[in-house]
Amino acid sequence: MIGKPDPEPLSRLAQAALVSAGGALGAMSRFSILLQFPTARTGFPAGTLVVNGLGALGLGLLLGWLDSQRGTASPRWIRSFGLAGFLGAFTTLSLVVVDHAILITSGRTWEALVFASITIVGTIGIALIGVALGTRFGGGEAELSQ
Amino acid sequence: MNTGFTILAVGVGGALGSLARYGVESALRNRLGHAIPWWGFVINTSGAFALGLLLGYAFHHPVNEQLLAGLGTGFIGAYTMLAPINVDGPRLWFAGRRHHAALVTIGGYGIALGAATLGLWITGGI
Repeated sequence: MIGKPDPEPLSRLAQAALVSAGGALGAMSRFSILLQFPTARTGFPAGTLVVNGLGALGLGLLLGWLDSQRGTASPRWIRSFGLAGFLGAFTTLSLVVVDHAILITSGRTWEALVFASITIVGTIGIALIGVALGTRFGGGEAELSQ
Repeated sequence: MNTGFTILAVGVGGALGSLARYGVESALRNRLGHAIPWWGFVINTSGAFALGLLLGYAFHHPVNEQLLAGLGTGFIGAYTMLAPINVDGPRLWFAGRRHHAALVTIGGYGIALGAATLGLWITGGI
């Protein structure tokens, strides 16, 4: 593919606007999904797993697609809005480790271990699948690289 | 009843939390070098500690629902992110830097877990 010249870099103000708009939508989407899983302090934090699983798929798809578009005029706003904004805000780690800490201190060690293993191994696997699919959509070879 | 306001609070918090993350990442990316994405540690550890403090407090004290959602789910939730664990680590792994990969993924998770536990403990959540 013959690369078109890169578009102009975004101004700092445009970046900030795109990151905050994507961030607001990402956080509200995550909240809406979490509302469907009322766990309180006693249940297994399934909502956190679902959010990060979906977010990992989105991260993989977008990173794979962006990677396949290198050297082309893929719009820069997608990186600010989609990656740093939406997916950065949609996925979360603080809630994961708070959930984990509460499971441990409630004496539910096995559930904590299962929860952490699914979070780490599961989201890595999902992201890799996403990268492969995203790269294919973009018409390139799958590779998780910079 | 107040779900509309709560979602709005989450949106405002999410916008500000994302901006804060973007700012910290941009500032640290050029200072700490690119060998290991340290900004991921800094962001996730500080956010986990803050959420531990906040939720630990909220377990025992009445806190305004919108404030809690805006600050916790919105700001801190959007400030921290999964990518250092499930993207940065695997990238280092595939680049042949397996020790760095383990440090970023397992170490990053472990340090954040410790910070969250400490935060919860300080405010009496656990």
